[in-house]
Formats: sequence, structure tokens, C-alpha cells
Amino acid sequence: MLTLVRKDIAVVAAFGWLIVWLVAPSYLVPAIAAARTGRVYLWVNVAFAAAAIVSVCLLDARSGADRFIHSLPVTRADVVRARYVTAIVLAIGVLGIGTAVGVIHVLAAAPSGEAWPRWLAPDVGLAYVVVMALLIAAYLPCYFRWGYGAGTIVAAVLLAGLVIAGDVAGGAMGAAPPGLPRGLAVRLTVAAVERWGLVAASIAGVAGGGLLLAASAALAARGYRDRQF
Amino acid sequence: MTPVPAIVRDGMAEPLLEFRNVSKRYPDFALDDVSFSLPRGYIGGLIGPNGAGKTTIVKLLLNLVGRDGGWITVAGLDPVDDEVTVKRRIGFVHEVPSYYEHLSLDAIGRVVGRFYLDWDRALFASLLREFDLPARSRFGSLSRGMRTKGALALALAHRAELLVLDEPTAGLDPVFRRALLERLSAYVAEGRASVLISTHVTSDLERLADFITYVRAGRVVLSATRDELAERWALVRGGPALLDEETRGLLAGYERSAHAVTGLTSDAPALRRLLSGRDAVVERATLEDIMFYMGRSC
Repeated sequence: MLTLVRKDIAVVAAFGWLIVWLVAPSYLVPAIAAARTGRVYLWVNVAFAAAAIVSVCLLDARSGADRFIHSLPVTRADVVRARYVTAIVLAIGVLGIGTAVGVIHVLAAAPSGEAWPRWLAPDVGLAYVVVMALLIAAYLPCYFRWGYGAGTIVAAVLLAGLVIAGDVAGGAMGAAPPGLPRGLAVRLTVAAVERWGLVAASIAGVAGGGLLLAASAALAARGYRDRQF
Repeated sequence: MTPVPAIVRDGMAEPLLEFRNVSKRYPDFALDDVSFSLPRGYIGGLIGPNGAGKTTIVKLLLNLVGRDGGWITVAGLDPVDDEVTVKRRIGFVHEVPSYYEHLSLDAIGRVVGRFYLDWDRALFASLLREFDLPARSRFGSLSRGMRTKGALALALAHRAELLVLDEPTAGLDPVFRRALLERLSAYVAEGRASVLISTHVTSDLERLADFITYVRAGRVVLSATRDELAERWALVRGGPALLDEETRGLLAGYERSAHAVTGLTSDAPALRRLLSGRDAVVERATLEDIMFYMGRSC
């Protein structure tokens, strides 16, 4: 399975220059205008991570790599598990890049002694983990069941529904804290950190995300088992 | 059920690949009761017209599609139950090889090599040189023939026991095509590996294949060794009087015009005896003749 993950990483690594020329500078826009648009920062991270994950699937589809992958000594379950691991690795990588760019910007631009910006706080990072777990758990089963084209459309509709529902539910909880999005996942994560502390909330968030991804991977494997190539 | 050919050469009769009563149903097509085998150390040809089911057979072997019935074994192992072990032993060259378009052959070799225990990096590099392939060019920039050569290099470099080639000569220049066929002969000569070639270009198989399996409309209509084909199958040509009741009984198919009859028989010795002294010519049937005339009666 790890060989498949290395294959996925090697495939996207060929586009590493995009990180230098496109992804990293893109963080500067919300970072520079952080006072007004700090809440966008989390969604920039989510958008880039989603784009990276979808890109791996797109590269497979564009190259017609299904036959190639299935001629390799791997099972379909291996392919599914590896793609989940790749998605997690990419999500963590994007969080790392986003955090690094944010920290560098804050250290360089903020006056000394000023409070650490809300949008770069650890609980927002945890909220990102929760949101990405939801996103991966929704997207990959659709991709494995229906392929890149139809699967991405189904997942986009599903995720759009989740975002709207989360936004409405989060809005119903009252005004969002300054610098934070008002979506339900973020609000609940921030509330959990306030109530239980960062460590306990992180353990709960990561464990919950892990369980969600495990269930999602089982569903994806079932859908993929029946695919004909 | 179509008989499964089994021959012994140098004491070997173990089938490296075996299909027994395999079936696969699609809404508009069915592969039905497919049986054939290929012993270790031989080249098998899977022939048939477009849409006959050859590619479905290859897909079943690679577990790209699930079978509805029957058994498939590679070295005694089921490609579904022992998928990883079986695929380690198979090298596959698809009709239109598809790898990551933005990667070079060099990079694809590094990616693929990690999956195989027997991957031979030096052999892969030497195959790229031998096939005159640019190791650092993007796969997407290669011509169809070069892609096939690249796929072949990948399949050979992990020393596959069973090479499965789906229409391998499409897009190849005549010089490399001949070199490829010679290389395949050499590959099986050690008796360790076998090659299954699925093609409708029967001329490639005339001299190369030890076994021929002819698939038509999802069924195996003929599975025999090349020697059996040469001994038993023949083409007969003669005047309209040739087509009497006795002769017709020995023909697997024929075509008749106002002045001539051309027929195919699967019992050449009997037909020769029957036509002895009559005005008819009995000659060797090519694979194309067999594909063309079998089941034909017009």
C-alpha cells in the first residue's frame, strides 16, 4: 500500500513548482488583509488541499491509469486505502505550507507584542483537520464508485449541500467569533477546544476524523470492488 | 465444452494459464463457457474478429472485470483470490498503453519498479536503449509505437512469467515488429515464461504461436496447437461439383460462387482421401482462412 502512496506522491510531485509559484503566494492575499479576511484563511487551506486531492484523481483519469494501476500487483482494497493515505498526507502538507506562510507573514509584518492573529490559532488548525476529514470522507467514496467525472460531480453536489447546511446551522448558533468562519464544523471545534482544552479536543477531533475516514474507506472499497474497467 | 489442449514438451505439461468454462455477461454481450490453456514455455495466440471477446478475456485475467462463472488459474493460483501474487507474475502490454502522461519513462520505471520483487533496473535501462526510447521524454509525447515499446520494456524488466499482450503490434513499424516477435520467441525459449498474444492480425501468429484459440461472438470455436492446425485444417478449392453431400459433411465452412467453391475443413486427411482423383486442390489453411471461412456457408 505504501508503494501506491509513493506512486501517488511521485505523480503529483512532478507539479511541485506549482506550490512555489502559485500556492504559497496565494496565501499572502488573505494573510495581508488578515484583519478583514482572516476567516478566509482556513478556506484557502481547504481549497488547496481539496484541489491537490482532486488533482491526483484527475491525473489518474486523464492518463487512463486505471488499467495500468490494476495491472500492478495490488488489490483494489490497497488502491482505496492508499488513496486515503495520500489524501491525508496532502492535507497535512497543505496545512504545513499554509501555516508556514502565515507564521512567516505574521512574524515579518505584525508589530512586536501584538496578540497572535485569531485565524492562525491552533483551534483553527484543528477545525481544518475536521473539515478535511469530512471532505475526504465525502469525496473519495464518490470517486471510487463512479470514477473521476461523475464521482466528482456527485461529491461536489454533496459537499455543497454540506457546506450550506453547516453554514446555516453555524449561523443559527449566533454570531461567529471575529476572524473565524461561522460554519458548524468550525464552531463546534472551537467550542470543543474552549470546553475541553486543546489537547483533549485534538484527540477527540483526530479520533473522530479517523473513524469517519475508516468508515468512508470501507464504503469506497465496496463501491470500487464492483467497478468494471 | 471446447477441449483444452495439453501437450508435453521437455517433460512439461503444467498449464501456466488456464481458463475453464469461464463466463462473463454484459447487457449486450456475453462471454460463454470459455476454456483454453497455455503451458509454461509456449506462446499462445488469442484470435478473433473485433468485438469477439478477446479483450474481455484479458480483462478477466487481470481482474479488471469480475467473472460470472468458471475458473481462471495462473500457475495454479486464482487471479481473484491471489491477486497480488498472480499479478507479480504477469506483465501486461495494453493495446493503447496508458501511464502518467507527464512522467518520463525513466520516472515511470522508478514508480513501477517498486511494485515488483524481481524488478531489474539495469535490464529496464538496457531495454530502453535497445528499443531506442528516450528515457527522459514525457510519456505523453511518445508515438503510439514508442508507447508500446515502453510498455513492453516495463513488462520485461520484472521478468514476468506470463506476458499478456493485447494487440501489441498495432502502431509498430515493420522492423521493430519483426524484432519484437523474435524477442518473444527468445523470451519463452528458456521454458520459464509464456506469452499470450491477443490480436486480430493473424499473420503475426502464423509462425510464432504454439497454441491458437479462436474466439467468436464470445465463444471459443477452436483451440488447438499450431501442429494440430497444420495437420487437420486445410483449404479446398474446386468447381461447383465439389460441394456434394459427402464433402459438405467434412467442411467447417465454405464460400460458393457460380464457378468455384472454396471450403475449410478440420479433417484434412479425410478430405484428401475423399477427393483423391477429383479435380480439387487441398492446401494449408492460414489462420486468416480459418477465421474467414469457419461457419461460413454462402
